[in-house]
Amino acid sequence: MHRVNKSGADVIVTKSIGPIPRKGHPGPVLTTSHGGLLNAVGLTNPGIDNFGDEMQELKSLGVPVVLSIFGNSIDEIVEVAQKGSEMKPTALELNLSCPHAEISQISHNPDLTYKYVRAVKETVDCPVFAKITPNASDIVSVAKAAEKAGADAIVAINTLRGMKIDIHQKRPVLGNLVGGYSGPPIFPIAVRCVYDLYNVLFIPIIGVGGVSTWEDAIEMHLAGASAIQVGTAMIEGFDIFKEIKSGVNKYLQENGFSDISEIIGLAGGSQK
Amino acid sequence: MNMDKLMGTPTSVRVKEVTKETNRTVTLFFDVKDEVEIKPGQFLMVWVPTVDEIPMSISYWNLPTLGISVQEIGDATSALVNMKSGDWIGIRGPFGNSFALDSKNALVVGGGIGIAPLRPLVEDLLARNIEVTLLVAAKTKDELVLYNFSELKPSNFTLEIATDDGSAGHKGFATDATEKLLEEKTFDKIYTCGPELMMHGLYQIASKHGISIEVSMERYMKCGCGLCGTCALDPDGQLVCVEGPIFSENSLKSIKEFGQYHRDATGTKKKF
Repeated sequence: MHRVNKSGADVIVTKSIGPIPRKGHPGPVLTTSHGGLLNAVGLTNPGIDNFGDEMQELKSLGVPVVLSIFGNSIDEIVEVAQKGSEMKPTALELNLSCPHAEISQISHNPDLTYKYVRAVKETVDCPVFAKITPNASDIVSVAKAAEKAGADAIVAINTLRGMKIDIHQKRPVLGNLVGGYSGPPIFPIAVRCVYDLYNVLFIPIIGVGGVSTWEDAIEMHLAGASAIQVGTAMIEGFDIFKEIKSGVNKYLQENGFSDISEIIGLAGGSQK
Repeated sequence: MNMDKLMGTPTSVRVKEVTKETNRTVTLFFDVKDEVEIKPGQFLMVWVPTVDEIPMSISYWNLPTLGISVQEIGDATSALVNMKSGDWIGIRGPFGNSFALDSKNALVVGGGIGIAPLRPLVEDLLARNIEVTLLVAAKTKDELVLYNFSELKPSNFTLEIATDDGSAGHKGFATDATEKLLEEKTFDKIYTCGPELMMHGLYQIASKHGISIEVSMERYMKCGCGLCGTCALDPDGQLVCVEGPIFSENSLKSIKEFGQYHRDATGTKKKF
């Protein structure tokens, strides 16, 4: 994470941290299909009680840190949020939607989403982001429920449920059989989700899903994202952050904009 | 972004031949279809169907045939040790950097199964007419992985053996045997792979004698290709899978966890 910081990222989002140490799924935890990446890492993390040192180190860099957390029940996520907020992150991001772990169902359901977000908001003072899944049949209702519960921003989207079968061995490749699909092929789905959400939400949207170039970042901003997250594209190296930022700045300059805020949602959506 | 290539082109192959090296160690041979370039020190991610995916040093190649040497340690390695010809495995890679063949008079030290990546290194060094002293170390005589080294007769090759219990060769640790060898001979470089405390001891010996050193590091690894961060080293986040697994004295002096601690499957720090 030191290196991500050095490479020009303005904010660092941690991997999701839960209540206890968790090994994750057996390997393979990663494979590819049709130009994208399938992962079933399975929320590997050292547990919130072991994460204080790492947060301390990260914060010493002076870069804003968003602590991503999850819990299998409302009590669990409240406990992790409580402990996490004591580490003074810039914000908490609630992973309500990992498609290959037990928590996958929360953000399929507006009521559950409301309850989780509400419970955390009542516990902590820092900003709370809700990360939601494109696998839900109605992401708009889910995002609205999170907003109603007091979420300070929506992070869209998590990975898509997917699978890869090895035709020689005739079995699924991932240890967990099913995984989350990420990378460039999911980008148009992420853009559609952000666009739809921008039309109905009052709170900011953080766009994520397949962004791998500065053109993607611009497209995501035009769809309505106030900020962009990059994950899978780091496979090509950490220069991605500098490349995106300089490309975006050049685009703004060439098109007569003085600030990124001027292009957010400019593609036709109308935030309320 | 060629995701398949970045992920090391996942391929399924059948085990062609199994050679027993010791009671607990075998070498598995298999053929690859694609043209691959392999350098000594590189590794593959090996999918052991229904069990896990683990990093394995490449211990042999004569294209299209590759070999990996496996010692029974956990679930995945015990499944591999029990494989027979015709069984399927999946491979990705090769990954990582390689040993630099810039020595004139090399001491190569392999501890236990750590000898695996050193076998092709020794062959490459000998082929370049570099003076090579190979020290093979293990707990007991029965655990020495010697490949065909005792039959090698080139004039630029010397084989030394060390066992903790003295059942063959020098009695004592590889570090003790190295100190003794340094009283008789001079080397300009040490190459080593084996238990980290042994490698750390050799690093200290090398520093004391002003000898250059390259060690092959091992860390818990999930993706093998610079994405998951599981193998990141403190404090700079150097990745064993991308910047390593081979690190020279210049990198080692800034890796504060070298010989001190590593992270387990959950990311929790564990002392050596």
